[in-house]
Amino acid sequence: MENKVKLSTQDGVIIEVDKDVACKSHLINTIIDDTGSEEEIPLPNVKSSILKKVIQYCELHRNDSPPEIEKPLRSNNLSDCVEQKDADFIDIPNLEELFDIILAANYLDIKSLLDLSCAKVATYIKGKTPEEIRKTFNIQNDLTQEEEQQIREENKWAEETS
Amino acid sequence: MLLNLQKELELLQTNNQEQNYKLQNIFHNFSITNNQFKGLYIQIPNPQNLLNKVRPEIFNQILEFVDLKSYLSFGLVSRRAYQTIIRMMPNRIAQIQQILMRRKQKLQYLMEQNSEDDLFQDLLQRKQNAEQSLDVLTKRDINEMKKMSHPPVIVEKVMAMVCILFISQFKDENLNWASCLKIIENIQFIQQLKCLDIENINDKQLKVLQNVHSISEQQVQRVSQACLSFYFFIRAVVEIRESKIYKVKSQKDLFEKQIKKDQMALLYLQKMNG
Repeated sequence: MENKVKLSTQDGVIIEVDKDVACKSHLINTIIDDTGSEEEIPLPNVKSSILKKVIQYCELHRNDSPPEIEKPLRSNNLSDCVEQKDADFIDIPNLEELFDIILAANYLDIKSLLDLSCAKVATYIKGKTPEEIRKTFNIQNDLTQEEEQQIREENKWAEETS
Repeated sequence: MLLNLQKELELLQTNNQEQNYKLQNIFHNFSITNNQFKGLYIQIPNPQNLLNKVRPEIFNQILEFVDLKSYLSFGLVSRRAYQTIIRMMPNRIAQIQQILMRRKQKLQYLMEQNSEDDLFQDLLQRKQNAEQSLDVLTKRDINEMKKMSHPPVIVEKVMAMVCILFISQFKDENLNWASCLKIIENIQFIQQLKCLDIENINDKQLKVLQNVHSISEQQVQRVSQACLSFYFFIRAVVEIRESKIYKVKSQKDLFEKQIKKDQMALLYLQKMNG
């Protein structure tokens, strides 16, 4: 029992997980250091479905720390930039879930997962047109024609030098 | 007369009741359909603007993974997207400064690891080894090539490599025997080959020439003795072009090009940042 911790999620689910896996989260690690691992650890910002995914990631890296992801990404195919197991893990078609993982990784302070999920979202932006990005992220274009023209002017040098 | 009027009145009342009943039915059905529609409408999730889901600081972490062009182009998505990139500009500037510093360090390391003396020594050695092969070409070899109207595939491959030396911007589909013959038939051909400036061979040309490694001496010898001279010539050119000095030069050029690009980007971003 000493090697297990109980995590209580936003939707009231209690998930029992190995302590070394849970401690991949700096937040949980700090809480355990401060208060011990006997009490349930409340995680009011994380839904159980997302926490399960986060735990799955921590288990993938139970015995290692993934290398830093190169910035900017050299390819839109994440398999070219990260280990295959990480590329497979983050291959989540539902963007809302992906954003929930970003928020959970940020809250739980798991830098490598935050980087991985951010990198995945970046592949939906890199090399895409503004219209394609709007469609992917459900964003309304509220720029006036004048504003759009002004931004294009500002960006002109980047187009010319690339 | 009165009796008739009473009957008509009764008929009208009956019709009126039926119409009222029908109307009530219509309203009832409409109410059910409307409620069902409302139910359906509630079940359809309203697509959320995902940009609003995270704070700009977190969105910046996403944007750190995209190249500068995509980063700036993201500002065209919406007003908030533009505000995000402007707000996060100092972070982007810091990121480019870091990359620039790393590139300068790598360039310095590359130059420290490869002293000019060592590089020239390596080049000299390779040139000496290749010298004999560069001088083997004779007019007789060229004449033999000119006579071939349908050469074996190996001959065609080797001669295409020779011809590429004269075309810095070539298209693969244009490298046929007919175009090779035009180059070979030039009276100055052999002289031009002997005066070839190996340093000017670009990366695209070199890539094609390096295919010579996949052809063996025996394969060429079996089909044409004259072609063998050209084969040795190409092999010698590639040998020299693969010397360390060119590799280091190519890496150095790439670093310098990237550094220049980063410096220019910094200049513009700092200007945009005010």
